Amino acid sequence: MIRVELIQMLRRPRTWITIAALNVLPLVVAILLSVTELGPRPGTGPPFLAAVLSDGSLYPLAAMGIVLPLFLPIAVAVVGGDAIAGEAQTGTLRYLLVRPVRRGHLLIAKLVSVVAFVLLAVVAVAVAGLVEGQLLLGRTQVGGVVSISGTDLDTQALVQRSLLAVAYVTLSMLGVAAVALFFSTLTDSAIAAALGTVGVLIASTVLLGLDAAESLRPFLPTRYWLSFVDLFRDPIRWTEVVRGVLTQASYLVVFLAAAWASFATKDVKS
Amino acid sequence: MTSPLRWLLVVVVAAAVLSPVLVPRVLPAAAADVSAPALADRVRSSADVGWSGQVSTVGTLAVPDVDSFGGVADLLGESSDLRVWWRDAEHWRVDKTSSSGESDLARRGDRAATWSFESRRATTTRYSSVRLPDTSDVLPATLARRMLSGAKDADLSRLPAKRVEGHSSAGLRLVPSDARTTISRVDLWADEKTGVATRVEVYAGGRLPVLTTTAAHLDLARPSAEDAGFSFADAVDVRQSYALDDAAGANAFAPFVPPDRVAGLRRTGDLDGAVGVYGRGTTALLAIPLRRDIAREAFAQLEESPAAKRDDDGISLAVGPVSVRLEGAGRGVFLLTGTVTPDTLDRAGEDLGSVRFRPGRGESR
Repeated sequence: MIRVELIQMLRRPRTWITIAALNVLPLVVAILLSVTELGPRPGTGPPFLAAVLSDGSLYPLAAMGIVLPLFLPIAVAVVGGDAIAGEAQTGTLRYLLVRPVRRGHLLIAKLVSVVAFVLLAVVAVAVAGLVEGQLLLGRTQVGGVVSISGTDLDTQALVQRSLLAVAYVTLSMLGVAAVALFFSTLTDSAIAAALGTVGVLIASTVLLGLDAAESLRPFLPTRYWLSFVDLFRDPIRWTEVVRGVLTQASYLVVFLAAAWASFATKDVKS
Repeated sequence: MTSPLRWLLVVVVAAAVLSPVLVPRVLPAAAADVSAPALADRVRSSADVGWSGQVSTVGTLAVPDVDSFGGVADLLGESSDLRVWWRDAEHWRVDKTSSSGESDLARRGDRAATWSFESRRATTTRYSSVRLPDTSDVLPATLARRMLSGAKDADLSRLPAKRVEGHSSAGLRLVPSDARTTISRVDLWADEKTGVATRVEVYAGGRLPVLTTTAAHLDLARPSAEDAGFSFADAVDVRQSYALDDAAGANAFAPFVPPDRVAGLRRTGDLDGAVGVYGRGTTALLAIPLRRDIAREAFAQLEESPAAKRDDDGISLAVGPVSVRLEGAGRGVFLLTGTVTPDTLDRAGEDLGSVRFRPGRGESR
């Protein structure tokens, strides 16, 4: 069933259109930076963007930082929200469940499909960022890449940490995928499920900026999204990365369980 | 399995997932039976206790963004996330981190290094104890030591112990009796055994603290010299700076000898420098000589604040517990600032009239 869902995801034009759309903004930013040579002021802008003018090899990370706060979660919310509700909306869910499959297995297959989409999207953004960085932005300075802490970062370390960052960004979307999947089991409208997920993320972002909500911060799904930046400090700040992974794993477990509880007893009419 | 059972299982799963985070928060802190003066002594003598961790600070003061203040406006008016490796008072590193980069400050003996990722600027310079407040001053341990410096035993009392980011900490309250200070009270919590402060709250009369600093992921083992030091990549252009900041530069090069006492506060710190550091603990002020051009800029910047008060001798401004005054004294212009009342700062300004000129030093300034 997982294979069927993966093939279906890869064959959908929507998958590739979404991935292409995700890459538009990083491309536009790279072109603008290349033409104007105006980076963001220190302390502002997405991660690494201030550094890419002098070192284009960091642009894959900057590109991930550009899409991570908004565009990637929206894409995941749309794809995840469509997982069950989309089938119900088009009237195929009833036929899907006619086959001898457990509803829990169907949920897992849908989740794997969403995660595969996220991985594909993140890798596409990183690879496109690498090409754009090399072609449009600054070359690596003599002496190699500089870590955020000002120390040397050799090519091997840069590649390893970049791969870790891709994995971390993918993991960061697990919570979004699980929430979207849960909403998808509650409604027959894919757009409603996606909007519900986006609403959760907006609420999380608002609470994150509120000092009064300090005690809630460790539990917010968006809290550790940008902690992939910590992989490029010296020494690496693992505390935030590990917390980010645990937070996403927690959302995954709880909302997947909730999706299962909702879907297992759902009265499928369409 | 019935629907209610399934949802009950979801609730159990959620509780199990949350418990590792919630349980340490609700666990009672270990009771501490140490007296307030004894705990204060431990905090004061914790400068050479090694530790590492993360520190978050929340400042609520709208300090005017005067160039001469360096990063003080950010330190006291914004939230900061810091990474700290503290080997001892002379060997430490504090990184101010953000999602877009980091700014580092490290000290190794009499040398200091700074690094800014976003501007790719690295500097090394001679460390100066007389300088503007920086990130190392808002660490709970450093701030607690500073606040308790010179505090009278009668001003101290114990607060209930509590867990600060999971770390059991003994509580202490300082209510300064000196009428010259603007700080109404300081609440702090510290590791009972080592005296390393885990949280400090500074109040200036209001219900809420004007500055809060909290340590998390506290590790009370001495960090390695490698982690606490600084080593720049070959690609980084490291520059030598003449001084750590404007105050350190003025202290080293300005041609003045400040008086031994102003507003009844005795001069402390570097007695050979041109910057006057007066008082200690919660009642402290700095008198920094400014170059004429910088003084003009500072005057214009202070004047932009609606709360600024101009008089014949200078201009004054009070921002929460921080009072600021720009005053002409002798052949120079001094920026006075500190956690003292505006009246105290006025008197300090008058007393600065006895500042002496030191010929042959920094006359090109």
